[in-house]
Amino acid sequence: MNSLTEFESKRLLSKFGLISCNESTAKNYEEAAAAALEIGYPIVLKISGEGTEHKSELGGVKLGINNQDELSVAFDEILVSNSEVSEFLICEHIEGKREFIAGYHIDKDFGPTIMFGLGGIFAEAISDASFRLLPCSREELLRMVYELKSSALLNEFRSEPDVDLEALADTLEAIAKCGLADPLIEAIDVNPIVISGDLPVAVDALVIKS
Amino acid sequence: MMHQPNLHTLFNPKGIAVIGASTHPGKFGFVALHNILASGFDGNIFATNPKMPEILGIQTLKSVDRIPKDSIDVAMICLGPKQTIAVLPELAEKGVKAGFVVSGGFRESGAEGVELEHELVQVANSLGITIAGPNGQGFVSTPANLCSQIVSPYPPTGNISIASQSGNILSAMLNLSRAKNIGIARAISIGNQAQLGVADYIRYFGTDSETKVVVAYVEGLPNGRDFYDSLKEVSNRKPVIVIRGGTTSDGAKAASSHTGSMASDQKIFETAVLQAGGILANDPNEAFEFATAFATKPLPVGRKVIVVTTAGGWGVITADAISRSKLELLELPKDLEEQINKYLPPRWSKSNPVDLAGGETRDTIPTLIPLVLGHPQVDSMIFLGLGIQGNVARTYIESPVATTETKKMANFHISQEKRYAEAIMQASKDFDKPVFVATEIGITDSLNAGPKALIDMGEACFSSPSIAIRALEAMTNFSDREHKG
Repeated sequence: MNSLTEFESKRLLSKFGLISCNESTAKNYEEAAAAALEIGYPIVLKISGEGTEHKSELGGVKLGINNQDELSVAFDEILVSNSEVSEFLICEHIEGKREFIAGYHIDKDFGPTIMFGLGGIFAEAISDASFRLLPCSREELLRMVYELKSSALLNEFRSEPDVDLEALADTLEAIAKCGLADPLIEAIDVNPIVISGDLPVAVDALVIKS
Repeated sequence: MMHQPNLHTLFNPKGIAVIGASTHPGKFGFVALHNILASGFDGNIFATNPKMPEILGIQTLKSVDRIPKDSIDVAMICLGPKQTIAVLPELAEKGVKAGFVVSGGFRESGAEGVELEHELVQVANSLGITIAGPNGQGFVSTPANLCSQIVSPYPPTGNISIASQSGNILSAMLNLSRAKNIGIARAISIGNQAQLGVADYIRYFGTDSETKVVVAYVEGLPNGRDFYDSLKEVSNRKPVIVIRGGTTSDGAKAASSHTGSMASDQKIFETAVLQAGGILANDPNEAFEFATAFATKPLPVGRKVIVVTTAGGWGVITADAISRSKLELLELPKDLEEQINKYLPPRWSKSNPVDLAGGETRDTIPTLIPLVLGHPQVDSMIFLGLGIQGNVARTYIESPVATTETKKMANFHISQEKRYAEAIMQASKDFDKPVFVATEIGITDSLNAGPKALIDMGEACFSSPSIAIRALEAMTNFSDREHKG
């Protein structure tokens, strides 16, 4: 198995039209600080590069960093448990109450499939996801979206507006096209997609190649 | 591709030979020949047996080479695995295009069987013969009066066609067909799917003019995509009802991706069937109820249902079940309410369900049914309470204290039940809208004049409102797709 890094995964998916957060990589604190200024606080700091697919479990993600001092503290904390990491990712902090997940997977019987599901902290307990075989039409992708038990979350929710369905369809099409474009791609996870205002933004992504 | 024309030959042969016919009524080679003779197939029938006995009035032939050339195009092969492979070239020589292989001992039996199955397919391919099975119970084709199976029963003629990966599940549906008098066109136990997959049978049923409804029972798929494609092709024209066996054992499985871990076999299978436009059924009974509805009723054009009942409680249960479904309990139109008022005393429900509340007299039901069904807002109807008067008739008939009056009343009840059943079907035909009759009496007393009249007409009598509503929902979903294109 041969995964792309988070940064590479998002760059690849962006070529197919995925909307993802602003971000750049850094080799050290100085580069990270410069990148953070460029993107604008608040930012998220993550470990990057080989072997960091499970960065949350490794203590390699620091959310909601508001200024350079906090960045410095976060950087030191991350290094305590990840001393061998040589690459960092500085991402725009995306704010939103609603989270979804999407992905691509090759089924052993039916071949390429796409998934869209409820994300966030209750996702595992609630397990609300629907699938389609690929390729399929944009209308079919939107039907998949509306099959979710939690599809009401796509409407106006706690003072956040209706989700931009065209943008969501673009995101799902990007995942489908990316997966279908390369037979070596075994799976894609885009998790989470945070709804920022009305826009679905991919905050993390992983492309797995065989 | 040779298989589709050869499948047409299998189900419509000019002549059939039972290879390996037996004199023993307990053996496959006897049962198959018996069923072919008993079902009235009027093409050529031959049977081979090396000892040349006479079986059921047929003089068997010593071997295949004694069969007149081009007198048969189909073979029912009841030999062991190795002999089956060995006989194929001789059968091809005689003009056989398609054969059903009954024998086990192929892939299902281990490594040697896998080899034999490969060989079977290779030999069949090289001869241009299409092989159904192996390891199957046979096939049925009522338009050809042909029952070529090693099990029972032979079903009545109709327009439902079934491909089943389990012989027993197929027999179960044929039993239901007989009990309900809802007929079958083609039915086949597809066995190991060595050469043909379930998709090939679905495609054949899709083009077969005798088939209106397709049912498939699937456990494993040699080629999932091909199955999906076949469903997609055929579902454009005909309903395809799919039952899946073996879905519960896999929960979340080890996968490198989060998406993969969520993609259970069951979830993906169901996605594939629905995306292709197929219809999922939970079990063979439900599948057959769905097939019954599609086979006998016009498609509803919309979701608005009206319930007409002489049984209050069942009306309530039915309304609840409709509210849980994707159907819509029509709000009773004012003009319809006023029209119904003319025929019933004021205690009727004045809402949907239309509960007659015992206010009906001799002609009320036959009058109300077309009145209600014909209303432009009504897309479909569920009728409850058929058989209640027939129930009373039975009690009077069995009564130890019967009088001339009770006997007369019993006869009246019986003739009324028949009238109701006929009025329902006539209205359904006149307005081209489906009416679903649901009553437990169809099961508790199938001789009751109400349900019996439906069954005798070859119409569906559902055993409960909930199954009738699921069938109506399946038809409505299919109809929706048709309208969307």
